Amino acid sequence: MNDRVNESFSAFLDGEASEVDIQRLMKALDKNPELLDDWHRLSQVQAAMAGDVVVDVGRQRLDDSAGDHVEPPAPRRSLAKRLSQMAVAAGVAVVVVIGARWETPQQPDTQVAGIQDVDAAQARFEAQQRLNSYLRQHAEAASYSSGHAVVPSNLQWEASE
Amino acid sequence: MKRLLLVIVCLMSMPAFAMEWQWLNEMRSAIRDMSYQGEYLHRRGDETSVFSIAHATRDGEAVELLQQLDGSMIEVLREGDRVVCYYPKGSEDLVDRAIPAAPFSQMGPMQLERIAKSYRAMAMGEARVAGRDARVVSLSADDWRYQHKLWLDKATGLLLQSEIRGQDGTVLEQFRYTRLTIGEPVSDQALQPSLAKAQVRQQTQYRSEPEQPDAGGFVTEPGWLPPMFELEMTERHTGSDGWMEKRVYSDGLATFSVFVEPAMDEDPMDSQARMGATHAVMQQQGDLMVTVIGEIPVETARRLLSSVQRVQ
Repeated sequence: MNDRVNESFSAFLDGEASEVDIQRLMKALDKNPELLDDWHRLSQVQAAMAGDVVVDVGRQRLDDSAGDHVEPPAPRRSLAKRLSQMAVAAGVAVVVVIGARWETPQQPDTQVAGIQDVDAAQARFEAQQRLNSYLRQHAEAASYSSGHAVVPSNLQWEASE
Repeated sequence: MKRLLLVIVCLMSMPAFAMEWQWLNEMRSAIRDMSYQGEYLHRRGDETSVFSIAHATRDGEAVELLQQLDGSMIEVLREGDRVVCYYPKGSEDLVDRAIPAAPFSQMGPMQLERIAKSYRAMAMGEARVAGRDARVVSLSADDWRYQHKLWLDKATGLLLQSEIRGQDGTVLEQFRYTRLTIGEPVSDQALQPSLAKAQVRQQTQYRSEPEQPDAGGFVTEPGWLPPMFELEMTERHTGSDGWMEKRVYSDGLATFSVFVEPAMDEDPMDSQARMGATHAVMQQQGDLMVTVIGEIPVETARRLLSSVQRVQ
């Protein structure tokens, strides 16, 4: 299970997290808030491996939010709040690592960590969800001419016995 | 004199031209009508996956079972136009991904005349793939498109390997059989999905030819298209959060889709992604948010994207 969660977090760092990845991360975070620390370290390792310069500003914000889990957790936090928690864990690495795949030519100076990153990460996440849907639609359309892929339709789930 | 030269050149190139296109024609029917079993590898960028395939005809219809051999155990059963995908429990997140099938296995008749308008077919000698002798054919075109290279079985015409290559010759996507038997009877057992009885999730899809494209009522259009690409499919949605217009173009081999929607007020975000030969570019263009996705070079995608405008 833990491997799965870490994989999902890696996917999040790479800007490839699916809806299921995000839900998995949130569930894990509910069970074990300490994970935030692990992820912070993981994000640094990944960023270092990718050759990015890691500026450790996420740690500070992590300490600020450490008091959070003393209070009883809210039954349902908004997606934005959860996302921002994860973005904090990832610290600056979120921006740098996602940027490696998702080029943002207009904003070369987004390496300033903080709330803006969280917003940016969420905006990116939403843009990516939309892009994923477009990629899928394209693959389906392309299969009629070049036929490279079998595209499963996501319209209906049937449980089979 | 010039005209005479042209005639001579035509006469010299005609037989070769006809032969290579004939192979491509045979390839399409071999993929659909022959019986074969084996394993293939699909590489897209740095992602590789391996599948087993069993293909036969039953009651005049092609039946095909694909099984992913690495990663999650996914099975796809195709019977005529019906496609059923089986996923093991816990792999719901894979549902969104397209499953690579053999190139050209999903499409109708090859539109060779149309492909010949943009691509030049050339015999490139012979090679061995999956223990079989193959003819190599390259399909090359202008700089707006990628090159394709196909390895066709000498004995049966079946596609043994295919590659999409960039202008510099880099292999962007590869499909290749590693093991293959052709022409031997395929048992019913081999066409039976093993996940069908287990606790799995499955989804069924019927493939039907898309409707005729109709861009009437569209408020945007691309002002430029790479030569020989034709409109294949259109879709327009309107909802509470605005509208979205989709156009799909193809030259018979390569396909790209253009998605246009009104831009949001939030800070504009330019995104670019690449998976193998597929480029995706998302960019704000005036008051429009335009996304171009296709098996085309990024320069083509960018030029297309910047040409999208409101209909005057």
